[in-house]
Amino acid sequence: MSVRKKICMLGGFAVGKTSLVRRFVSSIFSDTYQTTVGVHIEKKDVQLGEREVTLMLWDLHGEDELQSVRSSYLRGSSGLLFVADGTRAATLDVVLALRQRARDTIGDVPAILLVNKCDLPECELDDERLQALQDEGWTVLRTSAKTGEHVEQAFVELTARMVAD
Amino acid sequence: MSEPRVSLPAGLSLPLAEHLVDRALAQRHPAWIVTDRAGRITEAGGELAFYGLDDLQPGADIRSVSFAESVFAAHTEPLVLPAVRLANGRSADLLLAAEPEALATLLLDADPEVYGARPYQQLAHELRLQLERVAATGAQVPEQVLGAMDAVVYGHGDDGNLTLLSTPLPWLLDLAGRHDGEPPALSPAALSPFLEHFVAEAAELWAAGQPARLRSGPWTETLPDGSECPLEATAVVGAAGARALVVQRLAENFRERSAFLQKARSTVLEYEGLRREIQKKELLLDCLVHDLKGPLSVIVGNLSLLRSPTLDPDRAQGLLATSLVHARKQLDMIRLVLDVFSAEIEAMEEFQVDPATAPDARACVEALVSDHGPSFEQRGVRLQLDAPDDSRRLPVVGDAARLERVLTNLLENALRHAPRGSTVSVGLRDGGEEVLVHVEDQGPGVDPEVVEDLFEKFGRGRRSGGMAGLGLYFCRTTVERWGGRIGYERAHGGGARFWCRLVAAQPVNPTAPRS
Ligand SMILES: Nc1nc2c(ncn2[C@@H]2O[C@H](COP(=O)(O)OP(=O)(O)O)[C@@H](O)[C@H]2O)c(=O)[nH]1
Ligand SMILES: [Mg+2]
Repeated sequence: MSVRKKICMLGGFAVGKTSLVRRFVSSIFSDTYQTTVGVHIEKKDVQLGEREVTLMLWDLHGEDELQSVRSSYLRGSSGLLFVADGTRAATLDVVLALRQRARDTIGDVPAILLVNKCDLPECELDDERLQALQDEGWTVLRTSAKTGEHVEQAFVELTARMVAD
Repeated sequence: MSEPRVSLPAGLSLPLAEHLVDRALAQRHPAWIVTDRAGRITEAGGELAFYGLDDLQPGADIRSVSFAESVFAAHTEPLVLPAVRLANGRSADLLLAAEPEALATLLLDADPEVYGARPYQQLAHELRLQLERVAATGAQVPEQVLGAMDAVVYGHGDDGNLTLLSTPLPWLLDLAGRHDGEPPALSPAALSPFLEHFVAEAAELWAAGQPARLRSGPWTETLPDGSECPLEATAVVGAAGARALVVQRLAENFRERSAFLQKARSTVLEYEGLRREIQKKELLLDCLVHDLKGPLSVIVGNLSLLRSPTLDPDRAQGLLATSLVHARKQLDMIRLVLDVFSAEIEAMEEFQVDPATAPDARACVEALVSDHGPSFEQRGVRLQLDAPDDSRRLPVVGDAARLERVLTNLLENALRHAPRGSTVSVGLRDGGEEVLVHVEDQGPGVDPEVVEDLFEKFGRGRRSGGMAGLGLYFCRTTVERWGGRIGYERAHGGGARFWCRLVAAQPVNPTAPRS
């Protein structure tokens, strides 16, 4: 028997939300940037021991001054994946603002912060910074939608926590 | 005989004026069968027993009824079939009406004894005209408009169910997917999880019943053929309380909007990339300046030695040769630098000393505080300006854009270490010959072990490679180039306090030597 769970991808624009979902769902990656307008929902079944979970992955468009994420999209989420771009420190600020918004809308649900594009040498979010976030209670993973590093792990770990709740 | 009255089946706006039905049916035995497009009976009523059809059940296929097999196929527009013979021996006139989502068949007994005197042909003709007129105006026009807008409409019933009222457009059927034999499930919840979510959100609006509109915002579905289908839904309550859900496929304006967003965001990305690139190059330049100093020291040293009157010619030749090697090396480096960074070199060398054109430290600090306020706020940190309360310009030796970057660096540094709920203050003091700017946070302060190397390139205690480690180095070299000083001290409250003394721009004295 499979349960259906909703996960929202949240973060600034071009941090790699769409790419992470694509990598996870269909194992593909593209270097060309195609901005997401509106919502795109992808499905993926995850086997967790005995249990099968159908993930509904809500890929929301990026938050910036041109488009802001509607709080109502967050309703019904069992988990949240916040995504920052490791090469752009400012994208972490967007994540922090979005987390606040998520808390105000749906309260605390399991969440993981992905610091994406870890395959790139330019790094603006150093270990110290991430340690500080971990000390604040965040679970942080450095991911790469390009190489696939930690991508599967991120989704599976979040799912496990959602199901445990 | 009681007067049969036909009230139209609930939920179906049969395009047949009720008075017309009344008139036509006055002496007859009306019965009706409504089916969906797939031929499944959704409703059957009236005097079905009269025609031996009383065992018809909703859900059955209409083609199982003897008369309907041939009728159903032809059943696309309003039509009257006279005196069709039914299995129980009676004859009936069949009035057929096509609705967007349903097909209605009205049965009227064609027993000449019942309506004997009335010429049948005339009645049939009259009915047909009426039906055609209703179909041409009432039903078809909105249908066409909806089609042109690539939209479908669901009616929201009192039971909370959504019923498709308009013709299902091809994309809607694609979205529903094709299932062998089964009619496609067209309910919003079955079509798309996004729509399911939105319908739940809109329930409140429909329940309230006040005229209102709620848009879902755009979303994208992937059709079975792999193509993307951008959609937007709107929940409405009309003026008369009618409740509906409109689902529209977004076309032109959506593409325009996407293109605009794409362009804007790509530009921001490019800009950010360029800015980082420039910062990197500026640091690189600082390194180059240091590298250029090396050969020059050798040359200066050699030249000093060459002035000695007792120098033997071989030694002199040797000194000249090494000088030449170093001079050439330097020239090569300069060429390289000029080639690659000429534009930036000019910018770097240019700074203002004339008070009229020199950057105004006050304006710069004020602009920074107001620009950065929001991003500080987002992190729960208050950014506060602490400046004398007048509006005099405070011109300082330097370059406006680079001064802004120096101070931005200090601000970002403070924000990195400021705890939530704390305050970062930016101070500005007019010290006569110099202008003092400071940035103070209430964080943990700088570890005493690293204070010494704080302004060095890749100072200890900082991860190499990050811009943060190079930022303070950049600040120091830049400020020092303008004759200023920069430093760190512990704030009274224990946080970090970075200060920066900038040389006040004085009216130029033509006789005084420029340092
Ligand atoms: N090198 C690298 N590039 C990435 C990675 N993830 C995304 N990108 C690129 O970053 C850009 C934005 O990605 P996208 O998934 O559209 O970001 P979104 O706006 O958050 O959905 C695209 O050009 C991607 O190719 C990654 O892990 N490594
Ligand atoms: Mg995207």
